[in-house]
Amino acid sequence: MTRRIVVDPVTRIEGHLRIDCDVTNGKVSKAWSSGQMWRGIETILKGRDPRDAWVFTQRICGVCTTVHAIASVRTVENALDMEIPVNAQFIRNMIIAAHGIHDHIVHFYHLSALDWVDIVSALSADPKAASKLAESLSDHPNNGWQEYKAVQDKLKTFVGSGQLGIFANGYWGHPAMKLPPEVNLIAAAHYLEAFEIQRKANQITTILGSKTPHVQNMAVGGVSNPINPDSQAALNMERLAMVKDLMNQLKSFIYNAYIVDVAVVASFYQDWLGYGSGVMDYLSVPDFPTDSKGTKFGTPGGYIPGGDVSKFKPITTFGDKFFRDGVKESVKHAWYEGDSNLHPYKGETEPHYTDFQDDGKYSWVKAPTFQGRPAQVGPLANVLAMYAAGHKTTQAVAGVALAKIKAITKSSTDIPISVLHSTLGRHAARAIRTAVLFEELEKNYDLLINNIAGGDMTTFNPPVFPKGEQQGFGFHEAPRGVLSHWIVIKNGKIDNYQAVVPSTWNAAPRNDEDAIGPYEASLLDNPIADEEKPLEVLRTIHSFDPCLACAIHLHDNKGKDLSKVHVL
Amino acid sequence: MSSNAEVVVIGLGNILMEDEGIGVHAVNHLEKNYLFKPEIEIVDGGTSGLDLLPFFGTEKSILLIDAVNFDMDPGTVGALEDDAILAQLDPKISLHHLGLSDLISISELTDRKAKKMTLLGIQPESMENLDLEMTDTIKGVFDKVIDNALRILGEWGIETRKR
Repeated sequence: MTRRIVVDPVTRIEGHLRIDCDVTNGKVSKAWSSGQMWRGIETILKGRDPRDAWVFTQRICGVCTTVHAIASVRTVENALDMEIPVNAQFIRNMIIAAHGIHDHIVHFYHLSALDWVDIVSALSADPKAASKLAESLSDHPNNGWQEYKAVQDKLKTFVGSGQLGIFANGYWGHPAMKLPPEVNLIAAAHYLEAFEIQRKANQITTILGSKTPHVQNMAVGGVSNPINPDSQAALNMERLAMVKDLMNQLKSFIYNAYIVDVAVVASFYQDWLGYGSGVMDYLSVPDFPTDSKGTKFGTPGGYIPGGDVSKFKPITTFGDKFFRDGVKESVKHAWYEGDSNLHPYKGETEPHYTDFQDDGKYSWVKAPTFQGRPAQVGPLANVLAMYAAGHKTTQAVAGVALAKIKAITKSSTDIPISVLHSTLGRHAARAIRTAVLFEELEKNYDLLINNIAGGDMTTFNPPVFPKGEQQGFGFHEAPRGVLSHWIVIKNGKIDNYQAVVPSTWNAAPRNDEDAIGPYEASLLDNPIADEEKPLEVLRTIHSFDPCLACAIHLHDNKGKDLSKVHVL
Repeated sequence: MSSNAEVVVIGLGNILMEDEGIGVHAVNHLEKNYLFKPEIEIVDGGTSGLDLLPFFGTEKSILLIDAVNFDMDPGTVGALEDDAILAQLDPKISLHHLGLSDLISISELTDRKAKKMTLLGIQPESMENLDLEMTDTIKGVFDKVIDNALRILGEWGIETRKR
């Protein structure tokens, strides 16, 4: 028997993303991913000065502000064939790393951990047993039983006051929840600690970007931070020392809490290292450029067809032709005019809404393809590329995470890297990537300090706009995966602008050839224990860190009880 | 970055989506046209959630300005105070980030609950189109929003004068 379940809107998913599944004999047999909001940033950018594009693109989304700013300035720089000062690369790189660390930690602990962790169960844990277990797993400084007792008391007060607040949407007591109370308590403690850690990572972005949540220091041609070791108004030694101090406070949490917690969750939910692989053509791009032109990178990226790392093909420069020529977007199943399959330079955005049609159009998201096929993007794609390229830190941290799972599960055989092709594998890859980002943060800090010590204070090369037409694209390996912006400039003004965002790749509907997208493919064969509470669907979709059309956030008065509103 | 100022004004919204941007437009106007004594902190919060946690604290009084769906006529300006804000707002957590109600919950959970908080809300007319301009209806109540923001700040002991 087949039954259709529609997740729209669902717990912890607003109306922007709708997932439909056919469930047959307790398993997902068919799936559709539908973006429920239209976006088309180009309508606002057309005719504007390309130097201002980043200011608008960083407003596309409330979370991904800096990433759209970075991609946008890189795009215009590519169109103008510019080089930018290495100091600007180092400062941008540190912002990218700090933002990514913040974003990955928030995603795991605050946006998806409650798919696996039962907060209510943590209330019945024995704090001493939790402490003992935690000490056996890591050297994290906050493993004492008094600390776990304090966390438990705080949760009891919070839950006891009837104010479930942010926990209100969790699926407590769902049959698919498997962690023992003590593990739930450890996770809850780290959930709370993660609020402080993400704040510290974010402070680094604020110091370097001048403001939060929207950085102010981007510029086509570099960054607008003047560097002067002695000036109060500039990026000076005092501010850099603050950055260093904040950096030092992140490391233990990443290695002793985040990576360990993901390994523990994977050990108790081993089934989920088997479900959720989906599309195994992976795309990522290199990032953390350390030269002025964008030909040397700290983290590799590239294309892996069929999940086979031996077939890894690297993307090697800003302006890489393999990447540039490989991307297309199909609207056959999306709510736009016609059934075109166009390169982003030629991209069109003419809305044409129909109803939700299973075999026709059913989403506002276009279907991007690479080399004519759907591609999965995100930390997993990036980690696999870095692994394939022989990136040392990636290989080492992946080894640590897999060894941890082996130890906890008392497995007699090694856990292979192939377990990463899965729902929990995406979480593990994100944790591994967080350690890589931390290393890049430290590395670029040292590069910046050394370059300043050598007397180079340059942070900006002014752009020059020639007459006529230029085309360019910029990419960035953002927290959710490959982000690319594409621009056509005519006589110094924007003529076309397209943003191909990471969630577009993953949330894509069927494409030109009716091949299903990554979310859709990953849901196939997932078990559904309770069709009324499809926690399993959430687990797999959340593992991608979905982010769709974040432009709208209107606050809705839930109860429509207006007695407390003072009308002015 | 969060400063030592005890009074914080946060404008929320997306300036790309017509009336959705009212909160941000309002704080930009305050920053550009007024001086405050003692100094206050003015934040363009955009559509961020958790990024705003550093501005919360037990010593802080926070004025939030935002488009709110009160189910009233477009252009209605209303205020919610303290615990009424959380009680009235939809608690659903957004997929991509944590919204205002979550932020307030988290501030309590992390011992950062503000001493005082007022949400100055404006019922929008349209926020469906990508357009930097607000509708005429909301432009028509813009001065009222500013006047009320200044009045609330005055009640909190902040002297304001035009630049």
